[in-house]
This record gives sequence, C-alpha cells and structure tokens, in this order.
Amino acid sequence: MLDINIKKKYNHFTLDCSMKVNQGYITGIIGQNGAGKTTTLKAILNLISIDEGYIRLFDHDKLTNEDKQKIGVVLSNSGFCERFKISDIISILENLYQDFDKDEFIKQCHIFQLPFDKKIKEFSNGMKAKLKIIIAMTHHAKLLILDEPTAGLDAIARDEVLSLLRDYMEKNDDCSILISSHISSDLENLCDELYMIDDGKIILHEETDVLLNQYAILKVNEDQYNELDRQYLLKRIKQNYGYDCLTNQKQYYFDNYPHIVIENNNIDELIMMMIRGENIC
Amino acid sequence: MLGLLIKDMKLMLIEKKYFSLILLIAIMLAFTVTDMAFIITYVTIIFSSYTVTTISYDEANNGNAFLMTLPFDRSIYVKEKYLFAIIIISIIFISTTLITAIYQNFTIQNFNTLEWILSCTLVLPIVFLMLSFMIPLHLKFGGEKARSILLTSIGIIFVGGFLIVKFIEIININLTTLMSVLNSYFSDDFIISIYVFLISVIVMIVSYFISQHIIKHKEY
Repeated sequence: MLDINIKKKYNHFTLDCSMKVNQGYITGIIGQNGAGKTTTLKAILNLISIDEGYIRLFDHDKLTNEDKQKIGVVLSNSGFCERFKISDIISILENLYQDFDKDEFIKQCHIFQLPFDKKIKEFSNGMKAKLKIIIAMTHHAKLLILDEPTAGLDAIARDEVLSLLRDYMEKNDDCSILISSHISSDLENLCDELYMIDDGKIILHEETDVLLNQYAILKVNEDQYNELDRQYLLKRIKQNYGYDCLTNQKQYYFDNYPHIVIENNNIDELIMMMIRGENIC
Repeated sequence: MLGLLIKDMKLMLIEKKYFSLILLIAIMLAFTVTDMAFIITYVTIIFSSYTVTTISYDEANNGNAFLMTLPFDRSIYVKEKYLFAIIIISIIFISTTLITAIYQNFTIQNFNTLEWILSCTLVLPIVFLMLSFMIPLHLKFGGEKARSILLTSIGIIFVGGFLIVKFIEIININLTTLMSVLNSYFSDDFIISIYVFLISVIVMIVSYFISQHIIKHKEY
C-alpha cells in the first residue's frame, strides 16, 4: 500500500528512511521527539519535498487528489481552523470528500459527546483529538496516516482514541494505518509492526509480537558476559554490575544460560538499548 | 474547490457582526458625506481584504499543513483565493454601486446614473492592485511578516517617488511641460480609466502566477 525510501537534508538533521505499510496492517513509527517521525509523515503527504528517493502510494509515485480521497490524516499540531464549529466542518467535508459519510460523522460525534454548538477552540484536548480522528475516519479512507494522535491526552482519552482505531480496523480489514507516537505503550498494544527511528534513521523494524516475545535484556556481570555466546546479542550498555545486553533470541539464552537474569523488555527499554547501547563486535 | 469556497464563506459568516458594523457605518456615512464614491471604496476594500484574512486563518495554529492534506491540489488553493476575492468584490461593488445610484437618483436632480457607475469603477483597480500585492505576500511570508513588508514597501515607494521628483528638479526637467505632454496623450478620463483598469487586471494575473509559484514550493 505504501513503500517509501526517502532522503531529506536540513542544516542539522538528515532524514534517511525506508519503510513499507502493508494492506491490513497497523504500522507504528516510534522514536524520541525530533527523531524524524513527523518529517517522514509530512514527506509521505507531500507537505515537504524530498531530496532523493521515492514515495510509492497505492502503487504509483505521485500523490494525486484521488489518493487524498483515500487517505485520512491526523497531524498532531495542525487541524481545521479553531473558529469553526462541528456543523461548519460537516459542510466543508461533504463538499471535499466524495465518500464523506455524514451520518457516521454525526453518530461518532454524538458517541464521543462532542458539542455541535461550541467552537473547536473551546474543546478540551481530548475532544479535539477525537474530532481529528473522526474527521480522518469518516470518508472511507483506505489508509490512515496519524501523527501523534494521542499526544497530550490523559490515559482515558488515549484509550478511547486507540479504541476508535481498533474498531476502524475491525470494520475495514483491507485498510491500513500508519501511526507515529513517542508513547510506546500506545503502539505496543495497537500495532502489528513497528519501525524505530532515531536521528532520522530507521534503527529497527520488527513485528510487535516478535519484539515483545523474542527480544529481552540480559543482565550479566563481567564473568557471565565473558562466557556468553554473543552471536544473538544486538547491543550492550555498561552498568555497575556488568552489562545490560539486548538480544533478539531470548529463548536461546533461557535454554543455555539458566543462571543469568533475563528481563522481558518493554518497548521503551528496547528503544533506550537501541539508541544508547554500543554495538557488540 | 467548492469545499474551500464554503470554508472561506463560513469564516466570513463567523465575522458577521464585524461586517454588519461596517455596513452600518457605510449607511451612516451615506447620510453625512457628499462623496458616495468614498463609501463604495471603503466597503469594497474592507470586504475584499477579508480574502487575505482567510489566508491568515488558514495558517493559524499551523492549520495549513492539515489543509493541504485534504483532497485538492495546491494550485486549487490559490485559484480559490483569487476566485473568492473576485466573488466578494463583485457582490459588494455591484450592490453598493446600485444602492448608491438608486439613492442619488432620488436625492439629486438630473443625476447621471451611467456616469456615476463608470466613476465608481475607479475603485476596482485600487482593490485589484491591493490584493495583487497582499495575496502573494501573505502566502509567502504569513500574516505578520506580510504586513510589515507591505508597510515597508509603501514607505520605500513614497521615498523613491520623492527622490525621483527631486532628481528631475536637479537635472532641470520642467515637470509642468512633462505633465502637459502626458495630458496630450491621455486627454480623455474615460480612456485613462480603461488603461488603469487593464493594467490592474494584468497585475492581478501576474500576481496569480506568482502565488501559484509560491504555493508550489512551499513546505509545511
């Protein structure tokens, strides 16, 4: 559905990123603030030009209006003018999108108790986020591109937004979602696969299940480290007691080194190991 | 395109109190000033300049980035802004000209309606030229910077004009003779109006293509 290989140079930052989004998949981009998540999404949406590479969306190179009809977008720091009310937005959307589902839009707004008589600027952050998602989802989009849709929300609002996305995928199993976030737990529970980005480069691409089930952190002292088979170790960080080592073959070390401490990592720890850890020669 | 026009119309409706006030002031002026052309100029400029305000609203809170993900080309965005301006100018200019013409037909004896309407068209080049500069400036630099650049440009034009006049005086060219030569070429006010109108239309077309170039290369 989406295949990109892009390079974009700024004065102090270079984005060099390749990724694919497959049909029926929820693909996450995770990374710290400033890692290049938003820049990648902006390049896909033709909001910025690229210096080198290609962006292939729906099997062709140029983003057309027909493509835009099939894309739903949420940008974290951008949206409709906040002077509008929901009723204004309905008039605009039904004249822009061929497949705008007005009844569904109104229904979703009622479900999430979004007021029709208030200007958007009077909405809470949670209400604004839900409105953005509803706007992206109510014209039968084949691909949702979501930049930090849960940023700035409390846990309950985040869960509501993520539930909306899960429901969308359940109802439209041929659709795809590309979602960026710096909140790992959001993506951990939602995405089929994850791209980890740091300093403009993809440093890891893996299915979420594999990341959670096969990756682990080994906590070893100097002696244990020296005895370890290091062929399945990806990174290490020096600690007071010895080393933290990241592996993508947790079971191998469970079976062969029963005395070492093996911690099931979460995505945050994985990111930290991938970014701060040193390569193992 | 229709969705964008509706968006800008909706923005304008949000300001209905402000525009009602402008119309109220215009009606009050009609009873106090003798020069009705001033009222037409005043109302047309205020209403048409709202096109530029809609650009500012679009860019508020980085809204342009989202706007450009909606299903239309960047070139359509520019087309819509100029079309919106022309629609607003047409509605306001035609309605105010007709209303003032009817009013003066009742209040002034032997009022020449055709001459009045033709004299009113002089406001159009002013509005066209104003928008021709302001739309590309706003698209390129955003609201705040564009206003500063416009004010600075007006200052530079005034200073430049003053310096040219001084220069002509220094090199001993008689301005009166120069003006009489120009008058001999452009003796008919009606012909001058047509020239000025055509020039303003050409400037607006050039402005449109400049705006297209700006939007094509803009990054959000």
